[in-house]
Amino acid sequence: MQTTFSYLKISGIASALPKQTLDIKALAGQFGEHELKRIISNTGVETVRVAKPGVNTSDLCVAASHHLFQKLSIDPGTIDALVFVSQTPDRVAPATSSMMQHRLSLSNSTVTFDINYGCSGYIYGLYQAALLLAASRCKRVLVCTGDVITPLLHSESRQLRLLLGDAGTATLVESGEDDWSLALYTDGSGDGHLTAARTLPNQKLPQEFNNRNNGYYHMDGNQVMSFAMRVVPEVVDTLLTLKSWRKSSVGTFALHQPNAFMLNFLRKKLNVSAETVPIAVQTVGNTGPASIPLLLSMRGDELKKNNQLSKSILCGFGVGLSWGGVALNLSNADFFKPIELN
Amino acid sequence: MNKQLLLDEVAKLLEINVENLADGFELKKCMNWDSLAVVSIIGLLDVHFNISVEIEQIERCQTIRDLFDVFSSNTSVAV
Repeated sequence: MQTTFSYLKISGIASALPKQTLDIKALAGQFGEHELKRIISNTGVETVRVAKPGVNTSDLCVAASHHLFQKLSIDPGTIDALVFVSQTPDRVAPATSSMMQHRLSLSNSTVTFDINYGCSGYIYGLYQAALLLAASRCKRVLVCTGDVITPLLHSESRQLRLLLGDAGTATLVESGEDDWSLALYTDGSGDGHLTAARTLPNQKLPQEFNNRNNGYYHMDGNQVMSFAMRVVPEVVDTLLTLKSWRKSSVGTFALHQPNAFMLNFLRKKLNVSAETVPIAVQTVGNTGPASIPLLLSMRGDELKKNNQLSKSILCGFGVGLSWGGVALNLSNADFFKPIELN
Repeated sequence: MNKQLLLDEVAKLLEINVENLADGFELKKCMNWDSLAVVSIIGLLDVHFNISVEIEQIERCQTIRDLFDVFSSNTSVAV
C-alpha cells in the first residue's frame, strides 16, 4: 500500500519508561564477561527498562498520554479516537484501547482500536490515525504504542535479553497543514522469524512451532537482519519518490531502533550521514512498537534545534513480517522527554 | 573485490590478527564465530560489496577458504 494524505500534523510525542533498569553488564556471570563486552560494543545497548510484575503496557501508555495531555493542555474529552499498537495487550479481551478510554477520561463517543504489531507498529498506528482524520469527522487521534515484552523473554535467551526493553508512548495526531506519504507492506511467510508462539487454551500451533522456545519470544536474528537490509532502503526510495524529495534533502531518518549495530549497517546501506540517522538504544534497548516515538521523545528537541525535521522519514520493520514508512514534516511537533513509572 | 579488505574486516570481527587468517583457518574454532559474526558478515557484504548472500551459506562455512568461495560465487569479480 502506498498513499498520501493531506491536512495532518503530529502535535506532540511523549513517552513513559519503567523505572526498573536491567544493567546488561550484570549478566556477565551468566553469559561471560568477554562475550558481553563484545555484544554491548556492537549493539550499543547498555541497559534496558523492565516493567515490574503487574505493570502492563497500558500503564506505560496511560502515563505517557497523561503527560502529553498536560504538556499540550489538551482536554481528554476532545480526543475523537484512540489507536493502541502493541504485541503485548493487557488481556485477550477486552481491547486494551477500550480500557484506556476509561482510564484516560476520554469521552464515550471516542472510537478505540487495538492493532497487534511490533517494530513496524508506529507506522501502522499513524496510518490508522490518518485514515480516521481523512475519512471521518475525527479531529484528534491519540496513537499509543508500547510493549511490556520482558516477561516473554527466556532467561537464557542471550539474543533477546540483551536487547529488548519495555516502554510506552503517546502521539497526538490532529488536522493540520502537512501532507503525509505512507508505504506499508506485509509478508506473513516470515511469521516464524519473530514470534511468541503461544495460543489460547486447547488451540494448536502449526507443527513447526511446537515447543519453539516454549512460547517465549523467538527471533531469528540473521533472517531479520537480511530482511531489514532489503526492505528499509526500498521503503525509503518509495517515500522519496512519493514526496519528490531528494535523499540528501531529508534531515532525519527516524528508523526503528533494533540496536546500533543494525542501524549503522542500514545507514551505510542508505548511504546517508550519521547525523541524519539518530540512535537512542544505549539506555532503553529495542522497545518494539515504541522505538520510533521514544527516539523522537528522547532526541526530537535536538533534531528540531538543528532544523532537521521539516523533511523526516520514519521507517519501522519487524514482526509479521511487516514494514513501512511515512514521510512527513515533524518541525511543528513538540517532544517531551520520557517520564518514569514505578 | 579486494581480498585484503575483506580479510581485514573478518579479522576485526573475529578479533584476531589478520596474519593468522590463512585459507585453512577454522572459523568454528574461533570463540567469536557466532550468530553476531554471521550477521556482521552478511551486513558487511551487503554494504561494502553490494552482495546479498543466503544466511545458510555463511553458516555452513568451515574455513576462510569456504567464506571466499561464497563471496566468489556471488560476484563476477574474482577474490
